[in-house]
Amino acid sequence: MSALLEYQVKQLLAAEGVPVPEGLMVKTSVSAVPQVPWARVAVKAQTAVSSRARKGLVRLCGAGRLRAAVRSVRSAVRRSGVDAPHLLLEEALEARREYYLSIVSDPVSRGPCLLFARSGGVDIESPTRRAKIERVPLPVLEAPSRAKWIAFFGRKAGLPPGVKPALADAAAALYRLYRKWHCRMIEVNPLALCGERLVALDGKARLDEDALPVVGPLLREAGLTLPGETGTRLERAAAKIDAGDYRGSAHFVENDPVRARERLGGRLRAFVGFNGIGTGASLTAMDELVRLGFFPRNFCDTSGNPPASKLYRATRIILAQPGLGGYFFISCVSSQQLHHTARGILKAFQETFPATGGEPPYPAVLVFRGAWDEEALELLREHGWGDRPHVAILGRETTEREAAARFAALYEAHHAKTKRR
Amino acid sequence: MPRRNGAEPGLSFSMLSGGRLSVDAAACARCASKACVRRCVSSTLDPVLVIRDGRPVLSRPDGRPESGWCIECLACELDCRLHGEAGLKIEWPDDTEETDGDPG
Repeated sequence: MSALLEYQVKQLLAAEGVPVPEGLMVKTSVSAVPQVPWARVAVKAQTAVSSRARKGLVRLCGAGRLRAAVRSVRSAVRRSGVDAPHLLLEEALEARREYYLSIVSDPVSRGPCLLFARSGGVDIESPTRRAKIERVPLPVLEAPSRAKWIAFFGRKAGLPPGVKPALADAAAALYRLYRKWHCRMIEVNPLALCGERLVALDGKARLDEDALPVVGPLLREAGLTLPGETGTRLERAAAKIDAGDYRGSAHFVENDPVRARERLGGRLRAFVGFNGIGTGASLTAMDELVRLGFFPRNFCDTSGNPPASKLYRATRIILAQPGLGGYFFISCVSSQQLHHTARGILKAFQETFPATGGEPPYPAVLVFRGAWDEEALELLREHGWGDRPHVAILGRETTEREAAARFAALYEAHHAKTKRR
Repeated sequence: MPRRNGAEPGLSFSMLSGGRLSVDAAACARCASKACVRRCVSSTLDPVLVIRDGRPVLSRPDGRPESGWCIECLACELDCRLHGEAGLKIEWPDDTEETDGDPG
Protein backbone atom coordinates (compact mmCIF):
# COMPACT_ATOMS: atom_id res chain seq x y z
CA MET A 1 0.00 0.00 0.00
CA SER A 2 2.74 2.53 0.83
CA ALA A 3 5.25 1.68 -1.89
CA LEU A 4 6.12 4.41 -4.38
CA LEU A 5 6.91 3.20 -7.87
CA GLU A 6 10.06 3.97 -9.81
CA TYR A 7 8.60 6.81 -11.87
CA GLN A 8 7.18 8.45 -8.74
CA VAL A 9 10.51 8.28 -6.90
CA LYS A 10 12.25 9.71 -9.97
CA GLN A 11 9.86 12.64 -10.00
CA LEU A 12 10.68 13.32 -6.36
CA LEU A 13 14.42 12.96 -6.97
CA ALA A 14 14.30 15.29 -9.98
CA ALA A 15 12.48 17.87 -7.90
CA GLU A 16 15.40 17.72 -5.46
CA GLY A 17 17.99 18.19 -8.20
CA VAL A 18 19.09 14.55 -8.64
CA PRO A 19 19.54 13.77 -12.35
CA VAL A 20 17.24 11.07 -13.75
CA PRO A 21 17.00 9.72 -17.33
CA GLU A 22 14.57 11.38 -19.71
CA GLY A 23 11.44 9.29 -19.96
CA LEU A 24 7.74 9.06 -20.63
CA MET A 25 4.92 6.87 -19.43
CA VAL A 26 2.58 4.72 -21.48
CA LYS A 27 -0.37 2.61 -20.45
CA THR A 28 0.29 -1.11 -20.42
CA SER A 29 -3.13 -1.77 -21.91
CA VAL A 30 -2.71 0.46 -24.99
CA SER A 31 -1.02 -1.13 -28.01
CA ALA A 32 0.35 2.05 -29.61
CA VAL A 33 4.06 2.73 -29.03
CA PRO A 34 5.20 6.36 -29.20
CA GLN A 35 8.23 7.63 -31.07
CA VAL A 36 11.14 8.28 -28.75
CA PRO A 37 14.23 10.46 -29.34
CA TRP A 38 16.79 8.12 -27.79
CA ALA A 39 19.13 5.62 -29.45
CA ARG A 40 18.73 3.08 -26.67
CA VAL A 41 15.62 2.66 -24.60
CA ALA A 42 14.74 1.00 -21.31
CA VAL A 43 11.18 -0.34 -21.11
CA LYS A 44 10.17 -0.83 -17.50
CA ALA A 45 6.91 -2.12 -16.04
CA GLN A 46 5.98 0.14 -13.17
CA THR A 47 5.26 -2.26 -10.36
CA ALA A 48 6.43 -2.69 -6.79
CA VAL A 49 7.65 -6.27 -7.30
CA SER A 50 11.39 -6.80 -7.00
CA SER A 51 13.84 -8.26 -9.53
CA ARG A 52 11.85 -6.94 -12.48
CA ALA A 53 14.54 -7.65 -15.08
CA ARG A 54 14.71 -11.31 -14.12
CA LYS A 55 10.94 -11.56 -14.58
CA GLY A 56 10.99 -9.97 -18.02
CA LEU A 57 9.41 -6.78 -16.69
CA VAL A 58 12.36 -4.66 -17.85
CA ARG A 59 13.89 -4.74 -21.34
CA LEU A 60 16.70 -2.73 -22.91
CA CYS A 61 16.64 -2.24 -26.66
CA GLY A 62 17.74 -0.09 -29.57
CA ALA A 63 15.13 2.41 -30.74
CA GLY A 64 14.40 0.22 -33.78
CA ARG A 65 13.35 -2.68 -31.55
CA LEU A 66 11.18 -0.65 -29.20
CA ARG A 67 7.87 -2.07 -30.37
CA ALA A 68 9.05 -5.65 -29.78
CA ALA A 69 10.46 -4.76 -26.37
CA VAL A 70 7.22 -3.11 -25.28
CA ARG A 71 5.26 -6.14 -26.49
CA SER A 72 7.58 -8.41 -24.55
CA VAL A 73 7.19 -6.47 -21.30
CA ARG A 74 3.41 -6.31 -21.72
CA SER A 75 3.33 -10.10 -22.13
CA ALA A 76 5.47 -10.52 -19.03
CA VAL A 77 3.04 -8.34 -17.06
CA ARG A 78 0.10 -10.46 -18.21
CA ARG A 79 1.87 -13.77 -17.56
CA SER A 80 3.09 -12.86 -14.13
CA GLY A 81 -0.19 -11.39 -12.92
CA VAL A 82 1.55 -8.37 -11.37
CA ASP A 83 -0.28 -5.09 -11.11
CA ALA A 84 1.47 -2.76 -13.59
CA PRO A 85 -0.94 -0.42 -15.38
CA HIS A 86 1.92 1.70 -16.77
CA LEU A 87 5.26 1.27 -18.48
CA LEU A 88 8.13 3.74 -18.21
CA LEU A 89 10.06 4.27 -21.45
CA GLU A 90 13.30 6.08 -20.78
CA GLU A 91 16.68 6.72 -22.29
CA ALA A 92 18.97 3.78 -21.50
CA LEU A 93 22.22 5.39 -20.38
CA GLU A 94 25.64 3.76 -20.40
CA ALA A 95 26.90 3.41 -16.82
CA ARG A 96 30.64 3.54 -16.10
CA ARG A 97 30.16 2.78 -12.44
CA GLU A 98 27.16 1.99 -10.26
CA TYR A 99 26.65 2.84 -6.61
CA TYR A 100 23.98 1.96 -4.09
CA LEU A 101 22.50 4.64 -1.85
CA SER A 102 19.52 4.53 0.47
CA ILE A 103 18.16 5.87 3.72
CA VAL A 104 16.15 3.52 5.87
CA SER A 105 14.48 3.60 9.25
CA ASP A 106 16.78 1.37 11.25
CA PRO A 107 15.09 -0.56 14.10
CA VAL A 108 18.47 -1.08 15.80
CA SER A 109 19.55 2.55 15.99
CA ARG A 110 15.89 3.63 16.08
CA GLY A 111 16.54 6.34 13.58
CA PRO A 112 17.45 7.02 9.98
CA CYS A 113 20.45 5.19 8.63
CA LEU A 114 22.41 5.81 5.45
CA LEU A 115 23.31 2.73 3.43
CA PHE A 116 26.05 3.09 0.85
CA ALA A 117 27.82 0.56 -1.35
CA ARG A 118 30.47 1.16 -3.99
CA SER A 119 28.79 -1.39 -6.22
CA GLY A 120 25.09 -1.11 -6.94
CA GLY A 121 22.72 -2.93 -9.26
CA VAL A 122 20.92 -6.25 -9.03
CA ASP A 123 21.29 -8.75 -6.19
CA ILE A 124 22.35 -6.03 -3.75
CA GLU A 125 20.48 -8.00 -1.10
CA SER A 126 22.49 -11.20 -1.59
CA PRO A 127 24.46 -12.12 1.56
CA THR A 128 27.89 -11.44 -0.01
CA ARG A 129 26.92 -8.08 -1.37
CA ARG A 130 24.95 -7.07 1.71
CA ALA A 131 28.12 -7.47 3.77
CA LYS A 132 29.75 -4.70 1.73
CA ILE A 133 27.03 -2.16 2.44
CA GLU A 134 28.17 0.54 4.86
CA ARG A 135 25.62 1.59 7.45
CA VAL A 136 25.86 5.02 9.02
CA PRO A 137 23.30 6.23 11.58
CA LEU A 138 22.03 9.71 10.81
CA PRO A 139 20.60 12.40 13.08
CA VAL A 140 16.86 12.81 12.84
CA LEU A 141 16.37 16.25 14.38
CA GLU A 142 18.82 18.16 12.23
CA ALA A 143 19.81 17.46 8.66
CA PRO A 144 23.56 16.96 8.14
CA SER A 145 25.08 19.98 6.40
CA ARG A 146 26.44 19.73 2.87
CA ALA A 147 29.92 20.07 4.33
CA LYS A 148 29.35 17.00 6.48
CA TRP A 149 28.09 14.97 3.54
CA ILE A 150 31.10 15.99 1.47
CA ALA A 151 33.46 15.20 4.35
CA PHE A 152 31.84 11.75 4.71
CA PHE A 153 32.27 10.78 1.06
CA GLY A 154 35.56 12.65 0.87
CA ARG A 155 37.07 10.23 3.37
CA LYS A 156 36.32 7.26 1.19
CA ALA A 157 39.28 5.93 -0.68
CA GLY A 158 38.83 4.67 -4.19
CA LEU A 159 35.97 6.93 -5.20
CA PRO A 160 36.73 9.15 -8.22
CA PRO A 161 37.21 12.68 -6.86
CA GLY A 162 34.61 14.14 -9.19
CA VAL A 163 31.98 11.72 -7.93
CA LYS A 164 32.24 12.58 -4.25
CA PRO A 165 30.39 15.92 -4.31
CA ALA A 166 27.66 14.37 -6.49
CA LEU A 167 27.28 11.48 -4.03
CA ALA A 168 27.07 14.00 -1.20
CA ASP A 169 24.35 15.94 -3.02
CA ALA A 170 22.42 12.75 -3.80
CA ALA A 171 22.62 11.62 -0.16
CA ALA A 172 21.46 15.04 1.02
CA ALA A 173 18.54 14.88 -1.41
CA LEU A 174 17.56 11.43 -0.19
CA TYR A 175 17.67 12.65 3.39
CA ARG A 176 15.38 15.58 2.54
CA LEU A 177 12.95 13.25 0.80
CA TYR A 178 13.12 10.74 3.64
CA ARG A 179 12.10 13.43 6.12
CA LYS A 180 9.65 15.32 3.94
CA TRP A 181 7.61 12.34 2.72
CA HIS A 182 7.77 10.25 5.89
CA CYS A 183 9.66 7.44 4.24
CA ARG A 184 10.48 4.18 5.93
CA MET A 185 12.93 3.61 3.11
CA ILE A 186 14.09 5.50 0.05
CA GLU A 187 16.62 3.95 -2.26
CA VAL A 188 18.49 4.69 -5.46
CA ASN A 189 19.96 1.58 -7.03
CA PRO A 190 21.90 2.06 -9.12
CA LEU A 191 23.11 5.61 -8.77
CA ALA A 192 25.21 5.44 -11.90
CA LEU A 193 28.10 7.44 -13.29
CA CYS A 194 26.90 8.15 -16.84
CA GLY A 195 29.39 10.33 -18.64
CA GLU A 196 30.27 12.91 -16.01
CA ARG A 197 26.95 12.87 -14.18
CA LEU A 198 25.62 10.71 -11.37
CA VAL A 199 22.17 9.64 -12.52
CA ALA A 200 19.49 7.78 -10.59
CA LEU A 201 18.72 4.88 -12.92
CA ASP A 202 16.21 3.25 -10.58
CA GLY A 203 14.58 4.11 -7.29
CA LYS A 204 12.02 2.99 -4.83
CA ALA A 205 10.51 4.16 -1.60
CA ARG A 206 8.18 2.99 1.11
CA LEU A 207 6.21 5.58 3.02
CA ASP A 208 5.10 5.34 6.61
CA GLU A 209 1.52 4.16 6.20
CA ASP A 210 0.34 6.00 9.27
CA ALA A 211 1.51 9.26 7.69
CA LEU A 212 -0.38 8.78 4.41
CA PRO A 213 -3.33 11.02 5.35
CA VAL A 214 -0.79 13.86 5.71
CA VAL A 215 1.53 12.92 2.86
CA GLY A 216 -1.14 12.48 0.19
CA PRO A 217 -2.44 16.07 0.28
CA LEU A 218 1.14 17.41 0.56
CA LEU A 219 2.11 15.60 -2.62
CA ARG A 220 -0.84 17.09 -4.47
CA GLU A 221 -0.19 20.52 -3.03
CA ALA A 222 3.39 20.35 -4.27
CA GLY A 223 1.99 19.92 -7.79
CA LEU A 224 3.79 16.67 -8.32
CA THR A 225 2.16 14.42 -10.89
CA LEU A 226 1.86 11.59 -8.47
CA PRO A 227 -1.36 9.69 -8.13
CA GLY A 228 -2.91 9.97 -4.70
CA GLU A 229 -2.72 6.22 -4.37
CA THR A 230 0.07 3.71 -4.24
CA GLY A 231 0.08 -0.03 -4.19
CA THR A 232 -1.76 -2.46 -6.41
CA ARG A 233 -5.30 -1.99 -7.67
CA LEU A 234 -6.68 -4.35 -5.03
CA GLU A 235 -4.62 -2.70 -2.28
CA ARG A 236 -6.04 0.67 -3.31
CA ALA A 237 -9.51 -0.86 -3.22
CA ALA A 238 -8.87 -2.29 0.24
CA ALA A 239 -7.68 1.09 1.52
CA LYS A 240 -11.17 2.46 0.90
CA ILE A 241 -12.62 0.07 3.47
CA ASP A 242 -11.03 1.82 6.44
CA ALA A 243 -11.28 5.32 4.97
CA GLY A 244 -13.78 7.28 7.03
CA ASP A 245 -14.75 4.24 9.12
CA TYR A 246 -12.96 3.93 12.42
CA ARG A 247 -14.53 0.63 13.43
CA GLY A 248 -11.88 -2.10 13.43
CA SER A 249 -9.51 -2.52 10.54
CA ALA A 250 -9.05 -4.27 7.23
CA HIS A 251 -5.38 -4.29 6.25
CA PHE A 252 -4.67 -5.98 2.94
CA VAL A 253 -1.48 -6.35 0.92
CA GLU A 254 -0.80 -8.56 -2.03
CA ASN A 255 2.18 -10.87 -2.01
CA ASP A 256 4.40 -11.24 -5.05
CA PRO A 257 3.27 -14.34 -6.98
CA VAL A 258 6.36 -14.31 -9.19
CA ARG A 259 8.72 -14.32 -6.24
CA ALA A 260 6.62 -17.02 -4.59
CA ARG A 261 7.04 -19.25 -7.63
CA GLU A 262 10.80 -18.60 -7.58
CA ARG A 263 11.06 -19.34 -3.88
CA LEU A 264 8.98 -22.47 -3.74
CA GLY A 265 9.68 -23.78 -7.23
CA GLY A 266 8.19 -27.24 -7.64
CA ARG A 267 6.97 -27.23 -4.04
CA LEU A 268 4.29 -24.64 -4.81
CA ARG A 269 0.93 -26.38 -4.93
CA ALA A 270 -1.47 -23.45 -4.91
CA PHE A 271 -1.98 -19.83 -4.00
CA VAL A 272 -4.40 -19.30 -1.14
CA GLY A 273 -6.56 -16.28 -0.41
CA PHE A 274 -5.80 -15.47 3.21
CA ASN A 275 -7.47 -13.58 6.02
CA GLY A 276 -6.54 -13.54 9.68
CA ILE A 277 -7.46 -11.88 12.92
CA GLY A 278 -4.30 -11.12 14.81
CA THR A 279 -0.93 -10.86 13.11
CA GLY A 280 0.72 -13.47 15.31
CA ALA A 281 -1.81 -16.16 14.49
CA SER A 282 -1.78 -15.06 10.86
CA LEU A 283 1.99 -15.30 10.47
CA THR A 284 2.05 -18.65 12.24
CA ALA A 285 -0.68 -20.00 10.01
CA MET A 286 0.99 -18.60 6.90
CA ASP A 287 4.25 -20.33 7.85
CA GLU A 288 2.39 -23.60 8.27
CA LEU A 289 0.71 -23.22 4.89
CA VAL A 290 3.97 -22.39 3.12
CA ARG A 291 5.62 -25.42 4.74
CA LEU A 292 2.99 -27.54 2.99
CA GLY A 293 3.41 -25.78 -0.36
CA PHE A 294 0.48 -23.36 -0.16
CA PHE A 295 1.51 -19.75 -0.58
CA PRO A 296 -0.71 -16.97 0.77
CA ARG A 297 -1.54 -14.81 -2.24
CA ASN A 298 -2.04 -11.91 0.18
CA PHE A 299 -1.82 -10.86 3.78
CA CYS A 300 -4.99 -9.53 5.35
CA ASP A 301 -5.78 -8.67 8.94
CA THR A 302 -9.35 -7.81 9.91
CA SER A 303 -9.13 -7.21 13.62
CA GLY A 304 -10.18 -4.63 16.17
CA ASN A 305 -13.78 -5.85 15.94
CA PRO A 306 -14.66 -4.48 12.52
CA PRO A 307 -18.30 -4.62 11.44
CA ALA A 308 -19.41 -7.46 9.19
CA SER A 309 -19.49 -4.97 6.33
CA LYS A 310 -15.71 -4.59 6.47
CA LEU A 311 -15.25 -8.35 6.43
CA TYR A 312 -17.53 -8.53 3.42
CA ARG A 313 -15.61 -5.92 1.47
CA ALA A 314 -12.20 -7.30 2.44
CA THR A 315 -13.21 -10.85 1.55
CA ARG A 316 -14.54 -9.74 -1.84
CA ILE A 317 -11.12 -8.24 -2.54
CA ILE A 318 -9.29 -11.37 -1.37
CA LEU A 319 -11.47 -13.54 -3.61
CA ALA A 320 -10.90 -11.19 -6.57
CA GLN A 321 -7.23 -12.16 -6.78
CA PRO A 322 -6.48 -14.20 -9.87
CA GLY A 323 -5.23 -17.78 -9.71
CA LEU A 324 -6.49 -18.76 -6.25
CA GLY A 325 -6.50 -22.45 -5.40
CA GLY A 326 -7.97 -22.10 -1.92
CA TYR A 327 -9.13 -19.85 0.89
CA PHE A 328 -7.98 -19.78 4.49
CA PHE A 329 -9.35 -17.80 7.43
CA ILE A 330 -8.10 -17.99 11.00
CA SER A 331 -8.61 -15.95 14.13
CA CYS A 332 -6.38 -15.75 17.11
CA VAL A 333 -8.32 -16.39 20.31
CA SER A 334 -9.80 -12.97 19.84
CA SER A 335 -12.24 -10.78 21.64
CA GLN A 336 -14.02 -9.55 18.54
CA GLN A 337 -17.55 -10.54 17.67
CA LEU A 338 -16.78 -13.48 15.46
CA HIS A 339 -20.39 -14.04 14.43
CA HIS A 340 -20.30 -10.66 12.71
CA THR A 341 -17.00 -11.68 11.11
CA ALA A 342 -18.66 -14.86 9.85
CA ARG A 343 -21.56 -12.93 8.33
CA GLY A 344 -19.25 -10.69 6.37
CA ILE A 345 -17.34 -13.67 4.97
CA LEU A 346 -20.60 -15.48 4.16
CA LYS A 347 -22.04 -12.56 2.20
CA ALA A 348 -18.81 -12.22 0.23
CA PHE A 349 -18.80 -15.88 -0.77
CA GLN A 350 -22.50 -15.84 -1.67
CA GLU A 351 -21.99 -12.89 -3.98
CA THR A 352 -18.68 -14.04 -5.46
CA PHE A 353 -20.01 -17.53 -6.23
CA PRO A 354 -23.75 -16.95 -6.75
CA ALA A 355 -24.27 -20.00 -8.96
CA THR A 356 -23.32 -22.35 -6.14
CA GLY A 357 -24.94 -20.42 -3.31
CA GLY A 358 -21.55 -19.32 -2.05
CA GLU A 359 -19.68 -22.58 -2.29
CA PRO A 360 -16.18 -21.84 -3.62
CA PRO A 361 -14.66 -23.90 -6.43
CA TYR A 362 -11.65 -24.69 -4.26
CA PRO A 363 -10.95 -25.86 -0.71
CA ALA A 364 -11.63 -23.50 2.16
CA VAL A 365 -10.75 -23.67 5.83
CA LEU A 366 -12.21 -21.26 8.36
CA VAL A 367 -11.10 -21.30 11.98
CA PHE A 368 -13.06 -19.30 14.54
CA ARG A 369 -11.52 -19.01 17.99
CA GLY A 370 -12.62 -16.58 20.68
CA ALA A 371 -15.65 -14.49 21.51
CA TRP A 372 -18.85 -15.67 19.84
CA ASP A 373 -16.93 -18.41 18.03
CA GLU A 374 -19.65 -20.99 18.56
CA GLU A 375 -22.22 -18.54 17.22
CA ALA A 376 -20.03 -18.04 14.16
CA LEU A 377 -19.77 -21.77 13.52
CA GLU A 378 -23.51 -22.21 14.05
CA LEU A 379 -24.19 -19.42 11.58
CA LEU A 380 -22.05 -21.07 8.95
CA ARG A 381 -23.77 -24.42 9.52
CA GLU A 382 -27.14 -22.68 9.22
CA HIS A 383 -26.04 -21.54 5.77
CA GLY A 384 -24.98 -25.03 4.79
CA TRP A 385 -21.24 -24.73 5.25
CA GLY A 386 -21.03 -27.71 7.58
CA ASP A 387 -21.94 -30.10 4.78
CA ARG A 388 -19.58 -29.15 2.04
CA PRO A 389 -16.94 -31.75 1.21
CA HIS A 390 -14.09 -29.34 0.49
CA VAL A 391 -14.88 -26.81 3.22
CA ALA A 392 -13.88 -27.16 6.87
CA ILE A 393 -15.18 -24.90 9.63
CA LEU A 394 -13.14 -25.35 12.78
CA GLY A 395 -13.32 -24.07 16.33
CA ARG A 396 -11.19 -22.90 19.18
CA GLU A 397 -9.37 -26.15 19.86
CA THR A 398 -7.69 -26.02 16.44
CA THR A 399 -4.05 -25.02 16.20
CA GLU A 400 -2.56 -23.24 13.23
CA ARG A 401 -0.66 -26.39 12.29
CA GLU A 402 -3.80 -28.51 12.43
CA ALA A 403 -5.72 -26.00 10.34
CA ALA A 404 -3.02 -25.96 7.66
CA ALA A 405 -2.89 -29.76 7.65
CA ARG A 406 -6.65 -29.85 7.26
CA PHE A 407 -6.39 -27.49 4.30
CA ALA A 408 -3.75 -29.74 2.71
CA ALA A 409 -5.98 -32.78 3.17
CA LEU A 410 -8.97 -30.99 1.63
CA TYR A 411 -6.81 -29.83 -1.26
CA GLU A 412 -5.58 -33.34 -1.99
CA ALA A 413 -9.08 -34.80 -1.80
CA HIS A 414 -10.54 -32.02 -3.94
CA HIS A 415 -7.91 -32.44 -6.59
CA ALA A 416 -8.19 -36.20 -6.64
CA LYS A 417 -11.92 -35.78 -7.19
CA THR A 418 -11.40 -33.14 -9.88
CA LYS A 419 -8.97 -35.39 -11.74
CA ARG A 420 -11.40 -38.32 -11.71
CA ARG A 421 -14.07 -36.24 -13.50
CA MET B 1 -54.67 1.20 8.04
CA PRO B 2 -53.56 2.47 4.64
CA ARG B 3 -53.49 -0.09 1.88
CA ARG B 4 -50.07 -0.91 0.54
CA ASN B 5 -49.33 -1.86 -3.01
CA GLY B 6 -46.14 -3.02 -4.75
CA ALA B 7 -45.49 0.51 -6.04
CA GLU B 8 -44.78 1.87 -2.57
CA PRO B 9 -41.10 2.27 -2.01
CA GLY B 10 -39.49 0.09 0.61
CA LEU B 11 -37.22 1.23 3.38
CA SER B 12 -33.87 2.61 2.30
CA PHE B 13 -31.04 4.18 4.25
CA SER B 14 -27.32 4.83 4.16
CA MET B 15 -24.78 3.47 6.59
CA LEU B 16 -21.67 4.89 8.18
CA SER B 17 -19.38 2.95 5.83
CA GLY B 18 -21.13 4.32 2.76
CA GLY B 19 -23.21 1.19 2.17
CA ARG B 20 -26.90 1.39 1.42
CA LEU B 21 -29.71 -0.85 2.67
CA SER B 22 -32.79 -1.06 0.53
CA VAL B 23 -35.94 -3.13 0.78
CA ASP B 24 -37.99 -4.34 -2.15
CA ALA B 25 -41.49 -3.63 -0.91
CA ALA B 26 -43.11 -6.18 -3.23
CA ALA B 27 -40.85 -8.99 -2.02
CA CYS B 28 -41.44 -7.87 1.52
CA ALA B 29 -45.18 -8.02 1.09
CA ARG B 30 -44.89 -11.69 0.05
CA CYS B 31 -42.65 -12.61 2.95
CA ALA B 32 -44.16 -14.71 5.72
CA SER B 33 -41.14 -15.01 8.00
CA LYS B 34 -40.08 -11.34 8.36
CA ALA B 35 -36.76 -12.87 9.37
CA CYS B 36 -34.90 -9.63 8.71
CA VAL B 37 -35.70 -8.17 12.11
CA ARG B 38 -35.14 -11.24 14.29
CA ARG B 39 -31.50 -10.63 15.00
CA CYS B 40 -31.29 -6.90 14.54
CA VAL B 41 -29.36 -5.08 17.23
CA SER B 42 -27.86 -1.64 17.03
CA SER B 43 -25.09 0.30 18.70
CA THR B 44 -27.58 1.22 21.39
CA LEU B 45 -28.88 -2.36 21.69
CA ASP B 46 -32.38 -1.47 20.55
CA PRO B 47 -33.06 -2.84 17.09
CA VAL B 48 -32.72 -0.60 14.07
CA LEU B 49 -35.43 -2.52 12.20
CA VAL B 50 -38.85 -3.52 13.46
CA ILE B 51 -41.90 -4.79 11.60
CA ARG B 52 -44.81 -2.39 11.41
CA ASP B 53 -47.74 -2.92 9.10
CA GLY B 54 -46.04 -6.04 7.82
CA ARG B 55 -42.82 -4.43 6.65
CA PRO B 56 -39.46 -3.45 8.13
CA VAL B 57 -39.17 0.17 9.23
CA LEU B 58 -36.80 2.07 11.48
CA SER B 59 -37.66 1.49 15.12
CA ARG B 60 -37.11 5.21 15.69
CA PRO B 61 -38.33 7.37 12.78
CA ASP B 62 -35.77 10.00 13.76
CA GLY B 63 -33.01 7.44 14.17
CA ARG B 64 -29.86 7.94 12.10
CA PRO B 65 -28.48 4.62 10.85
CA GLU B 66 -25.70 6.45 9.03
CA SER B 67 -24.26 7.65 12.33
CA GLY B 68 -23.32 4.11 13.32
CA TRP B 69 -26.64 3.29 14.94
CA CYS B 70 -26.81 0.47 12.42
CA ILE B 71 -23.76 -1.65 13.23
CA GLU B 72 -23.71 -3.23 9.75
CA CYS B 73 -23.78 -6.78 11.07
CA LEU B 74 -25.56 -7.94 7.86
CA ALA B 75 -27.88 -10.20 9.88
CA CYS B 76 -30.97 -8.68 8.24
CA GLU B 77 -29.78 -9.33 4.69
CA LEU B 78 -28.47 -12.82 5.31
CA ASP B 79 -31.60 -13.89 7.21
CA CYS B 80 -33.82 -12.39 4.52
CA ARG B 81 -31.89 -14.35 1.91
CA LEU B 82 -32.05 -17.61 3.87
CA HIS B 83 -35.50 -17.44 5.42
CA GLY B 84 -37.33 -14.72 3.52
CA GLU B 85 -37.83 -13.46 0.00
CA ALA B 86 -34.35 -11.94 -0.55
CA GLY B 87 -35.95 -8.53 -0.76
CA LEU B 88 -33.50 -6.75 1.53
CA LYS B 89 -30.16 -5.83 0.02
CA ILE B 90 -27.10 -4.04 1.33
CA GLU B 91 -24.69 -2.74 -1.27
CA TRP B 92 -21.53 -0.68 -1.58
CA PRO B 93 -19.95 0.97 -4.59
CA ASP B 94 -17.39 -1.37 -6.18
CA ASP B 95 -14.18 -0.73 -4.23
CA THR B 96 -12.07 -1.89 -7.19
CA GLU B 97 -13.44 0.77 -9.53
CA GLU B 98 -11.10 3.67 -10.06
CA THR B 99 -10.45 6.33 -12.67
CA ASP B 100 -7.69 5.35 -15.03
CA GLY B 101 -5.33 8.14 -14.06
CA ASP B 102 -2.50 8.86 -16.45
CA PRO B 103 0.56 9.86 -14.45
CA GLY B 104 1.95 11.69 -17.49
